[in-house]
Amino acid sequence: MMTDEAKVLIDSVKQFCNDEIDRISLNIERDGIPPELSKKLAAQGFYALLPGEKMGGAGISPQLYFRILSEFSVHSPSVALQVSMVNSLIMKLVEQVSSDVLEVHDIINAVSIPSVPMGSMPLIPDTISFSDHKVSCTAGIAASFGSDSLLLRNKDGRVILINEISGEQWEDRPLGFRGIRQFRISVSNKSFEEVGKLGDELYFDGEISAIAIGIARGAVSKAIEYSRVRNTFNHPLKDYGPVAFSLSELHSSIGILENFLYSDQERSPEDLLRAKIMAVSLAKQASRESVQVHGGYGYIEDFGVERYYRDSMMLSSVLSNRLEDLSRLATCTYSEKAGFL
Amino acid sequence: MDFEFTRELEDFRKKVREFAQREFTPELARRHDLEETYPEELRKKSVRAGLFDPSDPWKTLISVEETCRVDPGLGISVTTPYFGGEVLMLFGSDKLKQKYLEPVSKGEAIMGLAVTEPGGGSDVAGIKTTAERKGNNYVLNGSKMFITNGTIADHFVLLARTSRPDDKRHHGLSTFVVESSYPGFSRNKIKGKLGVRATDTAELTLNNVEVPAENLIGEEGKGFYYIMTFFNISRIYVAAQGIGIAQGIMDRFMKMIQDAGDGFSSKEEVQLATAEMAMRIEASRLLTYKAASYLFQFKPNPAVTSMAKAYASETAVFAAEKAMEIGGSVAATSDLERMFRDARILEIWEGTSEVEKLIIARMLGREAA
Repeated sequence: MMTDEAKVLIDSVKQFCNDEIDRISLNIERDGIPPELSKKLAAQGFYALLPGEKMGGAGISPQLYFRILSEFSVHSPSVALQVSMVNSLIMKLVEQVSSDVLEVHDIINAVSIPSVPMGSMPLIPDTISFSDHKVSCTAGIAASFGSDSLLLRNKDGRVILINEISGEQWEDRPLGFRGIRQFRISVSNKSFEEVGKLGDELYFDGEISAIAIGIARGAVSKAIEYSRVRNTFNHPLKDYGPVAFSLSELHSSIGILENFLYSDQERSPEDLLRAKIMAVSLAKQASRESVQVHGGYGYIEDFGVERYYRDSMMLSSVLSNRLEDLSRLATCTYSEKAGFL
Repeated sequence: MDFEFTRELEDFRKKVREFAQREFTPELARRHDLEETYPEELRKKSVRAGLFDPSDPWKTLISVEETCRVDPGLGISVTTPYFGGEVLMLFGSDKLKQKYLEPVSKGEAIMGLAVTEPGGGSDVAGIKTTAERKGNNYVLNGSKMFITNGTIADHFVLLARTSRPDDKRHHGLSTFVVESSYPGFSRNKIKGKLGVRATDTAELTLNNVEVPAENLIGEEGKGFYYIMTFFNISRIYVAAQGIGIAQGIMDRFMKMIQDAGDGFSSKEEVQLATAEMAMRIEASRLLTYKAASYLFQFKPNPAVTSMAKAYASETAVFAAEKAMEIGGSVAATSDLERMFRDARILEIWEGTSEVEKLIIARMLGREAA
């Protein structure tokens, strides 16, 4: 049951998305999230949803936070990812360290997140080595929310910050989340600061679930609308069983996951992991179906459907790792390590 | 039953594969994908290399398969300059064949097929473009959408309505050869495709385009049947695109999992995924070759053709998604990412998978009746 305060916040998010994101969603895909939008997101408090009052944040519940991320994701998965990275990662680190190492207003525009290499945990770069208090590393995909700092995590959970790095601008367009600038990183013998310790929360299970649900919701909503108005063989598409039934099933599954993730009941880490596995799979299925329903129009960027397909695969292959998630799930299921030899 | 190709065709396959591996460099593929430009120089090279032989359907199929295996965007670009040519070949007059097919067969011109419209793709009989007879010409009005080779083709086989339908909507349609230079004909390149971005796609507009009556292909009113006959041919080449893309994905996937080290390739989940991809690819290949064999012996089986197209397309998408899921960021920063985007079109063009399945069911229903 949503409180009145929560309803007001959700409505303000929807209004913001309608007013500020929808009209530029295609440009976000082509050119990236513009700095003006980032400033507006910050000004509306969307970068400080999770942190408590001590940090100047709203201190909202995780459930409400996930609902908000989903709403952003319907309109722009890239914006949702940016909001989640600032809230769930950067702010968490800012809470841990002194302000002369990490300044909040600096951080919002100054962090790069390295890739998830095949079979590894998030934020660990492809290669990393330390020598004489300096670090060298490489990362295949690093996401930037502004400029020239790099945040990465060693295998033991220690997070370090490297300033004044230069990355190689992405030559091709990245697969997904094109609203966020991505590039390849190669750092050689740079000084670094240790800025905190982060554990399993770096899997971002809840956040990725929410973004995935938003992708699924966005894709299916567009498909349902299109199937009402597009005629073929003298009937709207929705009159054809395979179309109507498939979209209805997807719509139902999304609703069930939404109820699960947004409910007042606090969810355990295992719950969030289960939700993530299902949500990412659903996002891929829903976006694939939406492209199919839209036919040729689903294959071109103007209709805003193909980006869900790309972003859902990016969620699956880069921002999470199915084999690793299933391994974690098996450990939960058996209460001991399972699924390995 | 011999499942092997002839020595001549295997030698041709080797030649195409070597050409594609040599000429379809990763940098070229990436550049054309990024810039959405058609590889005209590569098309000319492929003609000079003898990859293009529309008179030999098996060689055409092999060309499609092997070029798409290396890069789908470039492969489809260099193997579709003849798109729609079969309509002329089967139903056109000798004069039309000489004027419009010969230059294309020699690689000196490019053609396209214009059927799909902004308001309808699957519903061919529902097209709105009209062709009204006026004296020695037909005057065409309407628009076409998602036309391959749209901005680069010299001429098109175009479907238009010449008379009102009677009780059957597909009656009253006719096919014409329309030159892109005719006054009133205009075209706009469609940009922002998810994949196969090296191919040229456009929207065509016909505003009182006068087409000589002699450019009517075959009989007036028979256009629907000609186009359906064409689709029963072209779907086999789309199936070949599918097996080529799927095999290309498999090639890269195998290398990727071997390079990952640490016994990654021997993890059971990876092995099962590998096997599933391989099984589907092999089944797609056999189904495609069977459909092709029927067709190329002039005994077309539309049900098997549709099975091949649907299954090979779904296999390509399956392989792409599996490879991306397992490959993670390594896959997402490799050619696999582009092939993932490219594969998706196969389930849409030349008949969506749903339409193919309806055709299969209908054909089987007729056999059972």
